[in-house]
Amino acid sequence: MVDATHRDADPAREHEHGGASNEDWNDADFVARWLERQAERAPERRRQFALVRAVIPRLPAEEFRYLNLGSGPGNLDELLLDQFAAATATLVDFSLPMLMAARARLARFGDRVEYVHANLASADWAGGVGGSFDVVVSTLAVHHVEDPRRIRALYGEVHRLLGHGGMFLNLDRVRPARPAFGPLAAWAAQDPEAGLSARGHGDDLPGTLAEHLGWLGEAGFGAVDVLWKDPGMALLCGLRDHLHVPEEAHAHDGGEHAHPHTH
Amino acid sequence: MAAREARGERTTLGMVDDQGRTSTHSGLFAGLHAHGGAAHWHDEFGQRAAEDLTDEELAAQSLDWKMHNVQIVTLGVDIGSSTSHLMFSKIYMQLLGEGRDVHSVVVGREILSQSPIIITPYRPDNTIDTTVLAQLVNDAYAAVGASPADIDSGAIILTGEALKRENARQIAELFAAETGKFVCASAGHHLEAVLAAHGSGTVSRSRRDRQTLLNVDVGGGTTKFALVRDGQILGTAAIAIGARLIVKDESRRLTRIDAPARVVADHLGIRMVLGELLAAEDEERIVQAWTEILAGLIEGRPVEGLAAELLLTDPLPSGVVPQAITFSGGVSEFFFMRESRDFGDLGRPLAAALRRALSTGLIRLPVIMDPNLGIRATAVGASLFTVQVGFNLYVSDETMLPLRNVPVLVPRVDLEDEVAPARIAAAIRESLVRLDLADGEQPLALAFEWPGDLVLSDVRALAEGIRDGLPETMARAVPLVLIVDTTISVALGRALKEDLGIAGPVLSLEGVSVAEFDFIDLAPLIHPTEVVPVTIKSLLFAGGLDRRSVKQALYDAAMASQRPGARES
Repeated sequence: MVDATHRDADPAREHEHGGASNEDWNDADFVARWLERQAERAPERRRQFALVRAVIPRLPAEEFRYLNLGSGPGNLDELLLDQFAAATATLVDFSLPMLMAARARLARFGDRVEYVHANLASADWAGGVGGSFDVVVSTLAVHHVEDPRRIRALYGEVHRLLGHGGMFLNLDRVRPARPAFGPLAAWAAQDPEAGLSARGHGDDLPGTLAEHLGWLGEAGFGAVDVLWKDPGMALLCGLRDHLHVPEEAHAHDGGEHAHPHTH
Repeated sequence: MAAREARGERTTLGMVDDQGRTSTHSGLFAGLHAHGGAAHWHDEFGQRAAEDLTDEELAAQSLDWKMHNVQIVTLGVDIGSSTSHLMFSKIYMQLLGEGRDVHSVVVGREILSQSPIIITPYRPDNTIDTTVLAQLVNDAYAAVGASPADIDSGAIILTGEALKRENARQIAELFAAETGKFVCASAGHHLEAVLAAHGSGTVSRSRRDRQTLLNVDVGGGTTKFALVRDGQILGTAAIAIGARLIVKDESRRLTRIDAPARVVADHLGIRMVLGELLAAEDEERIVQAWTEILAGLIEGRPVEGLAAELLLTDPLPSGVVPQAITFSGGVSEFFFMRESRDFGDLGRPLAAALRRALSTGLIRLPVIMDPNLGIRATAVGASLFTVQVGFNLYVSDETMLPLRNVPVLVPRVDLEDEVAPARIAAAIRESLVRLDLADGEQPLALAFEWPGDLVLSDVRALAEGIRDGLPETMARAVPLVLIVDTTISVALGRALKEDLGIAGPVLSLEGVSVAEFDFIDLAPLIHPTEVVPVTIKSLLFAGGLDRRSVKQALYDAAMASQRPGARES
């Protein structure tokens, strides 16, 4: 069984902790140390989470329900619950200490948040979350499932949990289509003005971008797209059926209804 | 029970006065109100204040709000073998519907104050030390600057040792001043499991999300299981595994070894002697054995060997696989890392072993983290008793009234096709088990939904089923109350008392809407209208008051009020 809900975007760090076992992720001290180290990377994380927030087509006061697969300590959720004041969240993670950290972080949101301990390596997780969701998000978690067959099944499980008009957003690491794209990323990063990440590693990742898009299609998503791409990482989007986007004027009419990142 | 929580109860009198003011004891408690007034709370649940309303419209809206909203202060008291605590809550109820079909729904709960959780105090003779308990109660009142007169309703839940006759009597005396406003429920293994499933929010969540869930309440002396599907409790079970079966002092010397702990120790070849040390590795082996047994029960593996020896009830129904589990009880406090202190018992190591069981796959099911109250996940009190009027009476002996604190049983039997006495008797016995009640020990109220017309032979068959289902009530001539929802009340009372000639007094009535786990008080008969005022007190649980549940409850209540006569049990 694999730890299927933990993520680490830094390959070096991942290598360093590649041997982290299921038990480690349920060890409070191990998780505390991990969280401490994560603080160093807060700005980078925040940008990634902002990407996810930006593409959720909901007005700030709109009620909707989302699911976060592999929530970790709830940093993304803090951003989302602040931005979308009427949203409710279900967080799934395999690490109990991580969920406890999330609960402490998100305490001010009260009953807007529910927490479920489950392992994405087995289809059982879906029984724990209950009901249908308007949006399912996941950041840097799905690749930890490792087995491509399991990821394909997982996409199907996500699809079944989405309601009419539902949207799946998966920000995750993807394998370069050719190994040579790895060195190309490092090469391209030498031009600072382009602002590209050097991280093109990950030959052992479970799927290429094209494969992930294919799996999403197989799982039943009527439309799939890539909303953002960096070497080694992509924000995948799968739509259950139609996509409704609020008029821009509403989302950006200033004052309390503006996106925070437009300020 | 579930039905009332989900769709609210019919209510009539005493909730809103003629000025449109809500009945509430807000005086002493007002300062504790964290949200800055009920209007704010109301706004949270969707009916937003519209900025563009005129002053008149705003005033009308405010009056309408007051007419349809009620606040009450309730006290929940849990006294168990291991721990005890009290909780003051403010309950917000909303009235829906009109006239006789008014329903109230609990839409919000605010904790005003909680006592610290104390280890239930014992005297040297092993009875509960009610002097210390009385102090806890007094301190709790003092902490909020309140007195018993400020409380609108309450519930005292006794479990484990507290159930023993002498303990129960003395505890009841502690709350003598509140008598009449309080429900006193004695909870054995089954009812404890049911209470925990309600209190942890598992029942309402299961109903809301159409899930099959297993609540595992790991307490001091026992672990209780409740299997819940779509908000219905399918089965309960209990096993003698609990944190305080073994207690040590600071130097690891054993100060308490309960019999079930000895069974496990003997099985593992571990020698435990009071006053002697418990080796860390022996403690670990006991905890591991407990964890494996609990994991086996959770995962639905066959119950055999040591597990069968420790099981206190029948096992859970087989063939129903839960989709997820929830944890409650004292050990869940450690499990969810809300507690880390060492109480000298095995709570902390047992929780750690259960967490390991999740990471190693010994327990594979998802765990829904309890967003509620963990150890406090039992009753928070009772809803404001709603007064209804029973009419169309049959009463064999008026002196049987008044009756107080009568538990309501709703036997699960469908009378639609065939009214078979044996099936009715069996359903009555099952409902007694669900509520841990003994036949003949106290007056009981039985509620039946009668599907159609008055067919005297069928009414007679129902009467026979009731007689056969409650042999001790019959033998000891204990008062019996029957609540039916159509015009058979007189015929049913007459069939039992006059045709079958049962010894005890019988009151049969209609016009009252109740659910299982309600407790009722019946006032003396009013002449010449020949009606009986019935006060209904529903246990109120901490769980299930999140936003989605409230919306669902309001929706269900609105739908239900459009179908008068329909009733869930």
